[in-house]
Amino acid sequence: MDAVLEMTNIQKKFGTGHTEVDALTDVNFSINAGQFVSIVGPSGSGKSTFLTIAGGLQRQTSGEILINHTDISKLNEKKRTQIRFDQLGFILQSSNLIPFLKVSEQFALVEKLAKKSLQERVDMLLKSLDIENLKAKYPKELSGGERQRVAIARALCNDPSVILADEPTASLDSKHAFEVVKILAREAHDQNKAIIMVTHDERMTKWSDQVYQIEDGRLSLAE
Amino acid sequence: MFLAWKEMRYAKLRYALIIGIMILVAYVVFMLSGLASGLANGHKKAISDWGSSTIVLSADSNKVASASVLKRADLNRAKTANTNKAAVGLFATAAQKSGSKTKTNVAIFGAQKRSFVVPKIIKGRLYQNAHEIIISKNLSDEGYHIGDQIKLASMTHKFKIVGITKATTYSVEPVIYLNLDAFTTLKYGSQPFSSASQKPISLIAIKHKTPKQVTVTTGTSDTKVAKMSTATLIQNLPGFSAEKITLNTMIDFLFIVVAAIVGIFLYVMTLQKTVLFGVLKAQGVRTRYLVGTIVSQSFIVGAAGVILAFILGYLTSLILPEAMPFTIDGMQWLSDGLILILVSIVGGLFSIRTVTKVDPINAIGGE
Repeated sequence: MDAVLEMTNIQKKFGTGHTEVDALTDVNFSINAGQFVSIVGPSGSGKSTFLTIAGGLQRQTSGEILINHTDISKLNEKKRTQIRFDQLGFILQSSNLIPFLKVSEQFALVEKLAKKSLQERVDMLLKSLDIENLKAKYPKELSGGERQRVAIARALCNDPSVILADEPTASLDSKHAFEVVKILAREAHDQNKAIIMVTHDERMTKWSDQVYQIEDGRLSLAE
Repeated sequence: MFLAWKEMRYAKLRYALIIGIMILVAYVVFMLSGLASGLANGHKKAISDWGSSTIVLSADSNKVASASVLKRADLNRAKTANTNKAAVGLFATAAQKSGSKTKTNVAIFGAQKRSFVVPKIIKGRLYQNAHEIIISKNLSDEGYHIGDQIKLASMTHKFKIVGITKATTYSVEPVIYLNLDAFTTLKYGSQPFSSASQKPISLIAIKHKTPKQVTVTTGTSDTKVAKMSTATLIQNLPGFSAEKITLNTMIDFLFIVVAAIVGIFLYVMTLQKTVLFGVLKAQGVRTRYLVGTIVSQSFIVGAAGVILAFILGYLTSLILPEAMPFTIDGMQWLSDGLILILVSIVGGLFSIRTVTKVDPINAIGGE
């Protein structure tokens, strides 16, 4: 199968001289459309660095990263921003929702920025995530679980190839956390999306197609 | 605009407060501006009503109309059509109605009844001799009516009011027009002059499309004259520039205040949103869009404040006491309003650097 995100020999160093730190060492990773992959590691292991590089938010020291066969580290900031908008979706720890927009307006903003109608897709997502009744509510009026479901819909609405989820269950109790992870797995399979979830909670990995662990900046497949 | 509006709707109170401050400052600007126009008008209106292009004073008057002394004969030295030049006498005194004890300060202009400086009569008729006068509407509002006999200065004989012109002022006093002979006797009493042409006047007003072409000849025995534009004469009216500069400096300072207030407000709002901006940037929203949001908000704050202050200022002008020299100069208010909106946008621009500096990397892994 075709890899939508492919990372080869990624190194990331911070600082110089005796303060130099290897955040990522020799990372090789690839994910196909329709796959749900978890990356587990304790804090400080390099999870966040991995996500920021995969998401084109910072550049690796060496190595290659391809999103749909384009090496994003070679693009300028403007093009990377455009790729993040068109091809990547982010689901963040607490929420990536805008506090002063109602749920329906969160999607309206994406429509305005994308300059196209996403109405059908948004309706389908809201229905599939069972959050149609939340349209007129502000994020602060939602429960943690509802908020993450809206965030998932927000990440998916522009039809990206890759979804990067940064500890999406961190602020949820385990019941809602499991529910969110199950939704992520389902959306990956149903919508043929590549979803990468980074978490420190190993219980969350049982619905993943593949589980990696990351420790001291080295990524390996978990047994 | 979308984000800008939605945020303002969500944080109603905060934005209402900043718009409230904007209204107050813009209101003060409009009031000062109206006062400046009103005072300026009070000083110059009678002169700007003439519609003259050029004024000739005696050279030693130092451009002050009331200090200028010319002769009636000097009118011939100005080389332009007779209908476009006028000898004007200027005198300030007090008027007193027969049978009344109150005196009213007035500005008196002496001019031949057919000269272009004499304002249109809105009621009654023009003066026909040296005992008849016409008064401005604002003087008639103080209880002077057509047919009344009034005493001017220390003259023993009375003047009869025969006509009323529209309201006008000079040196912030109502205006009386009378003929040149009346002016001469008023100002110089029974002082003898060798001929009518030797009788003194204050200035010559000239109306010409191309003022540069107007020349004033100077023979060896002639009084030296100073030719200037009407605008220059007005600038040199006693107190005119001083008042204008004072009020305009206050207004200019308020422009800086607006830039600072809006700037600081939006800067604080921006600082509170750095995390959100990081998330938006990570999601692929361009910095330009975020900057546009802030600039739109500063525009909305500025425009809303200006429009509401405009209305408030207008309503205030309706209830101001008559004695307060307040004039709404539409163009002036418009330009003040536009500058206010502009400086509030400038205030919004302070935050651009902060937005640009937000690193989307902070959206990941942060709390």
